[in-house]
Amino acid sequence: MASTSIARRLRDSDFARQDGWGWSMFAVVGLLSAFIIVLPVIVFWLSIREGRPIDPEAVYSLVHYIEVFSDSFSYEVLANTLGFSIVALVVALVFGIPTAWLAERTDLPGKPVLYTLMTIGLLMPGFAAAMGWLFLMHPRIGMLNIWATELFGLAEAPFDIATIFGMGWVQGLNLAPVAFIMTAAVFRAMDPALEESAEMSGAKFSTIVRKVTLPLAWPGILAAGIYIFTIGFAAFDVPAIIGWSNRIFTFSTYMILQLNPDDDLPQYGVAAALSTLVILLAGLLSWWYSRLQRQTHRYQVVTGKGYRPRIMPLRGYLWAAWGFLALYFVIAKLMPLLLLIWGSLLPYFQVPSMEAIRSMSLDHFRELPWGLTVEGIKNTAILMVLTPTVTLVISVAFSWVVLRSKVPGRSFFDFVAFLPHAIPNIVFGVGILLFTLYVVRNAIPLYGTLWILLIVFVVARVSYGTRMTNSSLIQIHKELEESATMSGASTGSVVRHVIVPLLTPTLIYAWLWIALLTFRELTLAVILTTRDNVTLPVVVWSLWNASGFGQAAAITLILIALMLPLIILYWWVTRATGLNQER
Amino acid sequence: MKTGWFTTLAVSAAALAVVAPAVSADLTPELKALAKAADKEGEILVMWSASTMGGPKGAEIFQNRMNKMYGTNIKVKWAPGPSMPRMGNRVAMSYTNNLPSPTDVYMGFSRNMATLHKHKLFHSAPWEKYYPGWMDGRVVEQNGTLVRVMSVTLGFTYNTKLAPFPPTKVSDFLKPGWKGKVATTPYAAGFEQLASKEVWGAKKAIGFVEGFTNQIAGFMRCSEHERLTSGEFLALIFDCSGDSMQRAIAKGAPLKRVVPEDAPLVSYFYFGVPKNAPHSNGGKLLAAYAGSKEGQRTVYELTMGDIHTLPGSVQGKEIAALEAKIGRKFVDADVNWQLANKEGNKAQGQAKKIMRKASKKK
Repeated sequence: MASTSIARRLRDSDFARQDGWGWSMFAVVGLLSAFIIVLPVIVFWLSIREGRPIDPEAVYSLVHYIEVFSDSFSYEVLANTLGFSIVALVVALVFGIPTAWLAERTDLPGKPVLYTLMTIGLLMPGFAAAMGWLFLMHPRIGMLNIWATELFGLAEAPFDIATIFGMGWVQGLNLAPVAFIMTAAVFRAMDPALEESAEMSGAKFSTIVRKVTLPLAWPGILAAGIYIFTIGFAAFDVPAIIGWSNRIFTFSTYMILQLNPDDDLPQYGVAAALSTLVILLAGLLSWWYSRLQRQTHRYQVVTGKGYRPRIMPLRGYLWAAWGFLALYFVIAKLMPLLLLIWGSLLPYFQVPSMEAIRSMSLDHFRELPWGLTVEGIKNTAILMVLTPTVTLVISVAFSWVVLRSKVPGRSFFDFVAFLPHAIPNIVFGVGILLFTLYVVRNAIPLYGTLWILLIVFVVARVSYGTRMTNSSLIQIHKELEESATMSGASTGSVVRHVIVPLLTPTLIYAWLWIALLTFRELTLAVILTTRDNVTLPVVVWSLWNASGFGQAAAITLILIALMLPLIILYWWVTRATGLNQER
Repeated sequence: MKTGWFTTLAVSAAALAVVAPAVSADLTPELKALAKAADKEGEILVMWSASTMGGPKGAEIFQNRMNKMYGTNIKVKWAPGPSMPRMGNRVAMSYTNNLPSPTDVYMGFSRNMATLHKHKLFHSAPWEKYYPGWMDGRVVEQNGTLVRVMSVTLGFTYNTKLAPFPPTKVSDFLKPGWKGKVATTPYAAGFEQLASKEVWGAKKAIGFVEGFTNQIAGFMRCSEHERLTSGEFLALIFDCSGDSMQRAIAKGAPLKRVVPEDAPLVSYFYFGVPKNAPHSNGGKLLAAYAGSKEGQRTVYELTMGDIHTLPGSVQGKEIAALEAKIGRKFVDADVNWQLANKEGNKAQGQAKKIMRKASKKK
């Protein structure tokens, strides 16, 4: 009955009068939306199947959930994951919020450089930073620990990165740019009136920050916090590099372990049950997030009057501000990078000494499996071009359907496009793995091909793509398209000759960003890669597992070097368009 | 220096001339047919760690010598693989889902092969027809589905520079000096052998594991010699075959491999050609080469191990010397032995659980 009503509304609406282009875009959006919804549904279905899911003897049961809940190790993993995510969140906020405040609310010079560095900082692969920190603070081989124990005659190493706190610390440093980008927008939009009133009433700076600035920014900070917590919850790189060999499992590494266990066949049912539980958790967090968003009007201080955020002169604190920023960049980016270079040149990891310097060579670079590395680079390059291109074509179609078409229930598509942002990507990875193994295995042999990676990468990035195209399309007045339509242009012509040219700066910016994220993507690739579709980050992961520190450090440096031209191009584009400061 | 290189090259060339007969005419008709079929396939995919069988360099050596010996032009393509148990599960998963195997040859330990036995994953082949009088029961097991590649003694490796004292027995690792400094494998390799009734028995082995968990600093794979050399861990108990450790020792790493007096046991590494291998003839040819007299020399060169029961085996002499020293025969742990070792296999499961629970208590 309901479907008849929707069909009637569809037939009667303006949308029914669309030409082929309109229908094509609707079809693309409809298909991808269905696919995005189907993946978690498959995950849930497999979580309640006992036996090989496609076997006729397989039955519905809760055995996988019982297995998850009856194993005390699951609770340990949950506690680890919560601890890890909370530490990562705190560290990210501790570095991200003050940096955002400095960039938006003070007279700090060189803000464009700060913005660029923070944005580019997001692109340094998590596994690179994790390897660097392992070389620095491993309890036995960590440089800092060796120096500290020798200098102070300590019996035990003072630092241990191979702990939940240590892993959270590294992840938090990696996520600080996210906290920066999200909270900078909050500080930018804040009316200075209340702060000025407080100052006029004689309140001290610290009191103003505590009682006025932070409470006003609170909803934004909380929203950033929820987002960062979700990323931390599903993070793979850092727990894999630091935690795996120390048997500290978090959700993502435990999931990978279930998909590729040491002593049994893959436990797809258990992985599906874990994924379903995470979908529920993500749903709860998203619900909380949307409640917060709805309550933000209580904190709205932006009025119709023109206003400028209050800029605070740093005066004598300028050096302290730069010192804080320099500290972040040195410990979060520079130090891990230098340690990677050092580790890649040594036969085995050692602290600096004449003996170590004498043993330096390029052997790890020379002995890399170059055939496999080149194959990884080739596959990564293909994905790096196709993923952003396909994602943005689909995103434009989504935005057009949501914002320009009159199709009934179009806001639903916007909700669907947002789902991959709300649900950890790893769940979609598991979903598509099970989909290709059990649903379309014979009809469409996707497993082990580049296509499977392309599809899941597009699904993972479509939230970001549509946020970008939505926000730009909103700014383009409909009159332009209406004029074109009045002049007899088809929907295709309007999209090609009006919308896309006006969206071009946004599309270039988003294309580069998605390309860079695709280049360093490890989590999804680890789940879905076989030897026929290996990507460069997976080669890094394989070498880390199979060849030790030296080769893994060497190939990570090659990966970073290959990213550099794109990062420079991205930097140039953002400077030219000023887009990074607007988002 | 130049003279040194020249000598090395000349010796290698001479050795190669002895090792590889370079005449495909000497091959049996069955082996010739196999070589022809493998040549047609054009490549062989192998997946194991970078320090197993010489990694990418080892694959290249296999490729060159095999091609010379069989008159073929086959490319052996290596890719870094996960641990042997995990790789075995990956092959089994691909087989049960009708997908192509990621590798044409699976290299596994006796215990892995026993675990995978129920899946009937591997092709059989008429190995003795390929090498009459050689590839018989001393090399081939399980109705021709598994080819032995090398013998593996149960042992451990430690860092000679940083170790608190030189250990000679497994029980030495319960002493306080090792607390928080040793590693084991996440799959508890070798513990099922230790717990067998022929070696320690389950009760004694589990008692050991309970104490040993307090000494463990972390987990590593048998091939990760760099982690011992760097001092991240000071010892690995047990080290599978210790082949990667032996190679690191030969290059000057401050490590020592010990075959403990209190656990004399020898098992094997095998090659198996998965039934879903994309190049199954190539896989069989590689396995045939590895088990052959010439192939065994290559295996020794790459791993410092060979099949101890074959005539001329270097490892055979080492094991005989050790047996004479401790006055006891080594337990021969082939796949059938592993399958029958119910007590040990059960204890290994228990050991994994105990170690997993205590893994982060440093």
